[in-house]
Amino acid sequence: MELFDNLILGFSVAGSPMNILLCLVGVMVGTLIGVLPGIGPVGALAMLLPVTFYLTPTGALIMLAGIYYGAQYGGSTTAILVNMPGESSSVVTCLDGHQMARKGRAGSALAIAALGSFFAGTVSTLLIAVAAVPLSRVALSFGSPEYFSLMLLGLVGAVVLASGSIVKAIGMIVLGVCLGLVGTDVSTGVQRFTFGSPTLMEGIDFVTLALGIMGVTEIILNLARREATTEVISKIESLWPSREEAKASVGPVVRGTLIGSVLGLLPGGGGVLASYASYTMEKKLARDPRRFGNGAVEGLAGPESANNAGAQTSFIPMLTLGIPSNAVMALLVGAMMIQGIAPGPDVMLEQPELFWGIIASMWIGNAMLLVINLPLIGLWVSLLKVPYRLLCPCIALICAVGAYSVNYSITDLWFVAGFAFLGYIFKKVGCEAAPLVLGFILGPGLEENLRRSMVVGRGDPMIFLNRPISLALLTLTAVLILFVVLPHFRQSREVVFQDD
Amino acid sequence: MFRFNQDNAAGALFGLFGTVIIVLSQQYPLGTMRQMKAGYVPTVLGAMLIVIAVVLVIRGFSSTSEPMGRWALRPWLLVPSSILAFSLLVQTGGLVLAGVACMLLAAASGLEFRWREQIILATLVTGSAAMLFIKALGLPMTFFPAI
Repeated sequence: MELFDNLILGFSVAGSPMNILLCLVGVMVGTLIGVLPGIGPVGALAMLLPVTFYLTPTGALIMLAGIYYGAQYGGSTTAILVNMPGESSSVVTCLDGHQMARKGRAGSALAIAALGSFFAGTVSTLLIAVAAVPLSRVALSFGSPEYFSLMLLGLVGAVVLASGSIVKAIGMIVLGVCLGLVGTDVSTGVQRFTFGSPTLMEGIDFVTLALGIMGVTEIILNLARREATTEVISKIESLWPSREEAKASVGPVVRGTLIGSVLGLLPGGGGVLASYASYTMEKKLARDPRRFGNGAVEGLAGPESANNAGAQTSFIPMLTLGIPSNAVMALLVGAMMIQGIAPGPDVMLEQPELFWGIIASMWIGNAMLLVINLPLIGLWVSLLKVPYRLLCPCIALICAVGAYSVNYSITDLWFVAGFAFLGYIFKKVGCEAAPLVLGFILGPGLEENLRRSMVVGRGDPMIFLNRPISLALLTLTAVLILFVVLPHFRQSREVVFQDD
Repeated sequence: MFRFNQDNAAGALFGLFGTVIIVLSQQYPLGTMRQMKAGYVPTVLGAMLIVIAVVLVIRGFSSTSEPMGRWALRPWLLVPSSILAFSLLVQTGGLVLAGVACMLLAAASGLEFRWREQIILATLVTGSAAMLFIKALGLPMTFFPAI
C-alpha cells in the first residue's frame, strides 16, 4: 500500500528528535498565543517567520503548522474559561462553552473540546494523506491557463468567504498583487517600481510585509481598543465529562469533523467558517434549540471539532496545489518560499519527506496537545492575567529583532514600520490585511501564468475557456461571484459574520 | 457637509494607489495582449483599483456607510516609531540600547504607562534577549555601543 509507505516515511521524519522538539515548541507557542488575548495565530506566525531561517524546511513548517493548530486549542481554553475568544475561530465556542463553565462544568467542557478536536485532527490528517496524492497528480497536468484560473478561483473564494466588504477585499487583493510585482520583472528584466533602490530589486521582502501589516498593526489595534474586564472561571473540578455529556457529544463531533473537513478545503475556508456552520447545523438538528446559548454540550462539541478539522484540511490546497486558502496558509507558503521551495504539486514528488513529514507531525502535534494541555490548564489561566501593557513592549521587541535578524538590514525595519503605519489606516477604513497578503503571494504567479497563456493562445483570451479544467475552475469562480450577488446568500453571509 | 466615512476614505486611498501605479507603469513598455511587457499587467491593475475607488466613493454617499471612528493617534504613531528607534540604534548603539528604546516607546503608546515598571521590564527582557541572541545563538550584533 502506497498510502502506508508514505505515512511510515512521514512518521519516521516527524519522529526524529529534532522534529519532535520543534513540533512541541510549535504547539506550546501556539497554545500560549491562543490563550493570550491580543495575539492571533497570524500575527504570531508573522513574528516567527524570521526564526525559520535557522531551521530545515521540514522543521520550519512542522513548527509553524504546530503554532496554527496549537492556537486553536488555546483559543478554546480562553473562550470557555473567560468568555474571551483567544482567536477568531473560537468565537462560537464562547456561546455554549462559557455557559457550561458557569454552570460548574468547566473541566468537562475543556475535556470535550480537547477530545473532539483530537478526533477531528486524526480524521482530517488521514483525509489529507488520502486526498493529497490524486490531487497533485491532477495538478501535474496543469498548464499556465489552468494555474491562472486556479489562482483566480483561490483569490475570489477568499474574498467571498471572508468577512467584511467584498469590494474592499478585492481592492486589497489587487493592491497586494501590485506589491508582489515590485522588483525585477522575470520575463523581461525590467526594474519595476524600485525607484532605483537596490533593496527593492529583488522585490518587497515577504517577512517585512507580513510582520508589519499583520504583527505590528495588531499591537496598534490592541492598544487602541479599550480593555474589558471579564470574569475568569479558574475553579475546575473533574476533567471527566459525565456519561450523558459524553453521549450527547459523539454525534456533533462526527458531524462537525465532516463539515469542517469539507469547508476547510474551500478557498477562504478554514476554522472560522467551519465552526459557524457546525453550530448552525447542531442548532437545527437539536430537539430543543432553546438550550443553545445556555450551555448545550452539542453547541460546544460540534464547532470545536469542526474548527480543528477545517484548520487541518486547509493544508490540502496549500500543499498539493500551492494555493493558500487563508492568511495562515499564505504565511506558510511564504515560509516555504523563504526556504527556496516553490509550493505546488512538485513538492510531494521531489521532497516526499517534507510533505509526509508535515502531515505526520500534525497527528503527533494533536496527540501532544491532548496529553500536555489538560494538565497545564492552570498555567494557561495564570498567564491570562498578564496585562497587555507588559505584553506589548515585548511583542514590539520580538518584531524588531525578528525583522532585523533576517538580513541585518536597517531598511527592512523601515519597511516594517511603514507597513504597520499603513496597516492601521487600512483597518480604520474597513480593509482587511489578509487579502492583501494573499494577493502578494499569488501576484507574481498570476502575472506570469497570464502572460504565458496569452502567448500560447496567440493573444486570444478564449484559451481560458477552451481548456476543460480551466473552464471548470472559471465556472466555479463565476458561481461564487453569483452567490455574492444573490440577495439570499448575501443576507446569510452577513448573519454569519455579524459578530466579527 | 462632506464627511469622510469608511467607504469614501477607502475609495480615496485606492484611487491614490491606482493613480500612482498607472503613472509609474507608463515608463515601462506596455506590449500587446499576445506579448505582454512589463507595463501591461500593472496598468490593468491600476485601472481596476480606480474602478474600485469610484464604486467605494459612490457607496460612501449612502447613509449606511460606517463612520471612521476615533483614531488612536498615539499607538498609531508611537508603535511604528518603536521599530524605527530600534533601526536607528541597533548598529551604532548596540542591541541593549536599541531594545530598551524600542520597548519604552511601545509601552508609552498605551494608556497606562508607569516609568519604573516599564524600565525594569525593558532592561530585564532586553538583557536576556541580548544574552540569547548574541551569546547563545551568536548573531552578529553588539551589546553596547563600540567606543
